Amino acid sequence: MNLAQPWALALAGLALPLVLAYLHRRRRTPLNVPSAILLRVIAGTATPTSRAVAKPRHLLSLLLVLLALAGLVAALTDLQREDEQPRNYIVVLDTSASMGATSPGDDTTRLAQAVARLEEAVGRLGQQDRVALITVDERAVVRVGLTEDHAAMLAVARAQQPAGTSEGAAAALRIADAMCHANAHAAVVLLSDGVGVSAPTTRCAIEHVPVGRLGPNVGINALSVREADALGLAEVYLAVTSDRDAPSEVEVELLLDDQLIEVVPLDLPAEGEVKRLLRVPMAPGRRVTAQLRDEGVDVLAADDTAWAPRRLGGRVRALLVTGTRLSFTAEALRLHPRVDLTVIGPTDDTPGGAFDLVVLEAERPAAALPEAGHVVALGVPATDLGIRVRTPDVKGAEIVRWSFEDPLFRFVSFDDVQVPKANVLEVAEGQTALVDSDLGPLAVLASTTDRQLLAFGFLPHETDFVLRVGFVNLVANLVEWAAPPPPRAEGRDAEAFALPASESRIDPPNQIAGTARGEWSGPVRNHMAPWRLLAWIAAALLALEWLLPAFAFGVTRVWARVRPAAASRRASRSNAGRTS
Amino acid sequence: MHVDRGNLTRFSSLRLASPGAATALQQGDRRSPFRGRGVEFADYRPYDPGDDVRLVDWNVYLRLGQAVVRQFNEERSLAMKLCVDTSESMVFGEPRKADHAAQLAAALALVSLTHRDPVGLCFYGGERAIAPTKASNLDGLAEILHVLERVEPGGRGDAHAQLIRQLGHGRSDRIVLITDLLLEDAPRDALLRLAAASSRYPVVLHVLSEAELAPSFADVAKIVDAETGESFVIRDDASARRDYQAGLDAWLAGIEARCRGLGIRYVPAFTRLEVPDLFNNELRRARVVEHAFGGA
Repeated sequence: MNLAQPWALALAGLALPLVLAYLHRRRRTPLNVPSAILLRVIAGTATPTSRAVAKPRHLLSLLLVLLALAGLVAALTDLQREDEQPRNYIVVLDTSASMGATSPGDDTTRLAQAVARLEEAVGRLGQQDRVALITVDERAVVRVGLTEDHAAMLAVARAQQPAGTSEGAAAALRIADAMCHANAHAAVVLLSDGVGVSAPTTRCAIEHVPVGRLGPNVGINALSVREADALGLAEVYLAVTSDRDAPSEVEVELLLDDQLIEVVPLDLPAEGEVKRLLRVPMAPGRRVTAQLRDEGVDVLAADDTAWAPRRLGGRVRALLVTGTRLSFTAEALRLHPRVDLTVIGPTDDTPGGAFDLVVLEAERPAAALPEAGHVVALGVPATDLGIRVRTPDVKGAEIVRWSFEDPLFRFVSFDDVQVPKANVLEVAEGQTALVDSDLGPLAVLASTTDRQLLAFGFLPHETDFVLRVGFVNLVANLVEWAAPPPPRAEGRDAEAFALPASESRIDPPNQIAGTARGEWSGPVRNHMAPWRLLAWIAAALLALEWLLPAFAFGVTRVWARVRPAAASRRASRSNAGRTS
Repeated sequence: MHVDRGNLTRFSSLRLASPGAATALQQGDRRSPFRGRGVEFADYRPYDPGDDVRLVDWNVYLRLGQAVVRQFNEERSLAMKLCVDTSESMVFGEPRKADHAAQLAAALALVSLTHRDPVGLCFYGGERAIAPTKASNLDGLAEILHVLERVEPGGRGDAHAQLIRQLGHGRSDRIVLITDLLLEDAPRDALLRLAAASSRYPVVLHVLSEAELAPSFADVAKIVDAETGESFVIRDDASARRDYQAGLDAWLAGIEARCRGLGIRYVPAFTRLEVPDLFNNELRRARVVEHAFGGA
């Protein structure tokens, strides 16, 4: 108590006049009585002094007043014990998708349970305790800074929806740790089911309040779609995880733009995962959705659906320069549904306009070629295009290697391909050999600023390669290679979603490393300090002693005035009634 | 004095209790000691000239040859005299003893006049002499109330002498003294004897306020008697209240015993009791009033 608390000083100063007021009695005055007859029996002999220091007449009252005063002074000077100092709680609330899980027989989500725990704990806090709220999903977001407005914080917590992963948990805990370190009497509380949550090393102890119970769950954890060929066949990769104790059968419906296209039955092992690569014919569409159909108990709905965008290229303008009427290449290009093919002879006029792909099966000067981003030379010299022949007309070259990981050779195999005649190409600086034979490179990729060139040292229709499906795939790959980039998808069509397996395995862990499992049972302020309780009791007694008699006296006076008036009103009403 | 007129309607179901025969001149519905006209046969007496021949019992005359007239019990009203103390001491109390006394007098007047029992109202003990008033039926109630409201207590007079003047030589069936009896022993005894002599059924309604029953002497320098001006200091110790209470109890017991000795019905009518409660409890128990239709 000092000048920093002037009110406390002033209150303490009140003690002296209070005591004096109690110790001093008022000036004695003569009392008029109706008759002295009854009072003669207590007649005295000496006149009392007019103003005297008397014995404390209301010792209990004086004691209570001083107690109340002491309580108020103590409250103002913040004379609190160490464990009664206001606390700062940084609450990290997990709002990942796994917090949307329910329990068998209970539709309450884990997030709702966590918010209920939060409400319960906040209800036990004192008014001066501050609480901050950080939410965790893919990101860590400080929703509410340290505040004494518990209701506002709870409103924000109630508004959260479970979604996403728990990737932001580590960041959130680091933020909470920093806030904890920056404030005295602070603690970090993690409200989470612990699924997919890992705790970093922190300076403040983290109390993990677990929510959720064990429960069976089946979920789709991976879905991707890509075009298998140019003819509408798509590859769908699907992974389904089961958290059940026993094997089960489920079905996954595949929808293309909300149209059912396939139902995939799956036999799931107990607590295992099934991965499937499916080839599904698909009409043009933008989005593939996988929907789990399951009759069993499934406590998490968020992972029952996954979706993936489908990326289809645009149309390709192709120019084939060939000297033969029966060109396998021309047929393969014609079969491709996205190719607008133009076929010309070596000496024909160059067609106008730009092309995406120019395929040379016959020699033609580079200057006579139209503008094109991608050029493929099949067995013809491409010296003026930048690729030189090292050894022409080699016989019986055997292909020993090709870049099978290159998108150009997807589903293309050169095993045992007979190449009776070929030109061995030279690989210049900046160029890449894609196909090598025992005699040298047979396919080279070169890039310039305005065009990409792929040169083969042999003509496919002079080999048995054109009889294989790999040739068609190669042509399709060339089309994809030359295809203009697909239009950029926007909005929901551009997003893919499949809940990761780490979020789908919803069984809460026994312990998150780096945290202490608890029930948020730290110091709570639901009890009242003894001195404060005493002060309140004293104040209440004072009110009883001082206010109630005054109130009763006032009521009596008012009643004495009101009663005759009310009675006369009643009488006049009854008289009026009788008269009428 | 203040009269709460609205509260008076609560007493209309009561009537004055009569311990014996009524003697008022006014005809009423109460048994009286007088013979005369009525419905209840009482006796025969010899015919005197001037008697109403309609009262001659002709059967007896034919049988005995002697003219006798039938006598009936007359029914009279119960005459009541209300004597209200207006001395200075009646000013005290919360509510004022005078107001309490006025309310009691008004209620008794209403009870009496409702059943055609005549009421006389007089005042004594005050500095000013106030003319008495009377009423014989409900038409006179307004006058009674008006007088009660107009009178204000104050001063100190010779209560005995004033009461003698007010009562005159007549003797009422019932006299009701509404007073605090704060008089010295001799004047108080004289007053009580006068009341006992003036009525066959005297009643004292003893009005005391809370200030007299449980007074507070905090911060009192000395006591001053409002009527006599007598003043003295009082003790300021713990035994003073105890002694006062003992003295008060003895004073009340003495008055009650003296009243009993004089045949006066003594009824404590302290201001702490509401007038309706007094009527329904103390006054009914003392047989001053009763329920008009019988019953407890």
